[in-house]
Amino acid sequence: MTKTHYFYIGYGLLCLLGITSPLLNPWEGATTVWDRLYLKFYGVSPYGGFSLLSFLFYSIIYTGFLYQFQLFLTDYLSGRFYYTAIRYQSLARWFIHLGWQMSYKAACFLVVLATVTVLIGLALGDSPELTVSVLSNLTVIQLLIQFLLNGWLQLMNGLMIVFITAWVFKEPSYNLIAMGLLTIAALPVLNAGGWLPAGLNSTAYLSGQWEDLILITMKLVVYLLIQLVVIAVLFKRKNIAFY
Amino acid sequence: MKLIEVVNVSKSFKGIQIFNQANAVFEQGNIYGILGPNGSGKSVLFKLICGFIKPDQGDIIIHPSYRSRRADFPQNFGIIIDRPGYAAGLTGFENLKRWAEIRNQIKDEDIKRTMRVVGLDPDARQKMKSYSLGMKQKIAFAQAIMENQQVLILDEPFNAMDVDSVKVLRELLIKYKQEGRTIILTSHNEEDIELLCDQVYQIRSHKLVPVNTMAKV
Repeated sequence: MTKTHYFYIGYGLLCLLGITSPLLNPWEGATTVWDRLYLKFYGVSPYGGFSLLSFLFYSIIYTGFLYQFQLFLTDYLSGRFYYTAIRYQSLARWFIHLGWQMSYKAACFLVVLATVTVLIGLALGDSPELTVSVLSNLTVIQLLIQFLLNGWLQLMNGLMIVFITAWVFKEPSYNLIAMGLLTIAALPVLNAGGWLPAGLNSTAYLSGQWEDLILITMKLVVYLLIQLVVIAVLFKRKNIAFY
Repeated sequence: MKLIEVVNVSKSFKGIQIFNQANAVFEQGNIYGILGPNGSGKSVLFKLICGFIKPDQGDIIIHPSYRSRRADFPQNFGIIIDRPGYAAGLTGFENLKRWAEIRNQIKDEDIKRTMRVVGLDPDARQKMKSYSLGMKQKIAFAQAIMENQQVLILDEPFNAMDVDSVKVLRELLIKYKQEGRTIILTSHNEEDIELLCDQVYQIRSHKLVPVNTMAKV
């Protein structure tokens, strides 16, 4: 067993603990598995009040995912990168391959998280009915779009920030600072209006209005495009010497 | 044929000058040694040649037959730079196969043959995290040669290897040279330089100074 294995085991247990814990966002009217998905991944927003436990669970889940990418990237860039990149012959081709791998993992992660939450809900006696009873005008489709699509976009934003930080500063410690800043930036007091790409996949942002949901998607897409432009500029400068 | 030319190259990192108006020429079919104390810029030179970093001034000119359009890095180059990089949870063969799949030029049997050449068992189930440093170095060596690369840029290629392995791989490099391949290497072992290199450049006062091999060692 390596340190990485211990990290994955601890991380998995914390995820399960949050999903099953009755202390995390209890709600008397919650009856369906979709209520559970909504409440457990409530996260944080400027609109829906603030719960420290909810914020902590959100931070652990999503920063944990970014942290494992940072661990991978540190190891990768300090050795394998040179032997891989020279075979692709192009930084862009290499990055597309890496980005594809990461986007696939992020999507799988969210699907697994949603599936496990629903299955645990069913096992604990939640109703499979396709309604979100804790927020009357919210549909299951909207909830899933927020969780899966905006969740994926939010994770990709985080991954790109981790990548850019690693590329620019070439020191793993800077990424810990970046992830800390991302976590703090999700706080309502700093992200009033939700204009920073942090915490926007919290279900707390859902109002039941499609416009609000689509606005979050658009913000995350715009930030992702900006990050890709920054990466393209960094690649153009080519100053690759890591750690 | 001039394969690589370093023309008036200057490079500094965070205000520390590494190269200042450095020049060198590497011709096809020769083995070149690069000498210099730790931190003198040997790895930087290799990264400059491979296109991983850009010179602040000057040019690195690679023969057109080793460059393709819209490529950041030269083609047909086998490299060992910095340290052996690998996925710790995979076997040596699996690591090499992942690299080979990028260009898809060689088959599993070619990878296995290369592993045997460098003294590794391709069928061993041992993960790389439990490899010795010398075995990791052999994997790095294997990935640099397995696709029949014609230019080898090797930073400390024999590092941590046992005497017998060093002997086998030295002979292999000499055979490659006879086939017309070009090799640029660094080594802290003077014997490697003396036995292998046709010409040696020493990094001195931020320049690449050609030295007579025998006189140097």
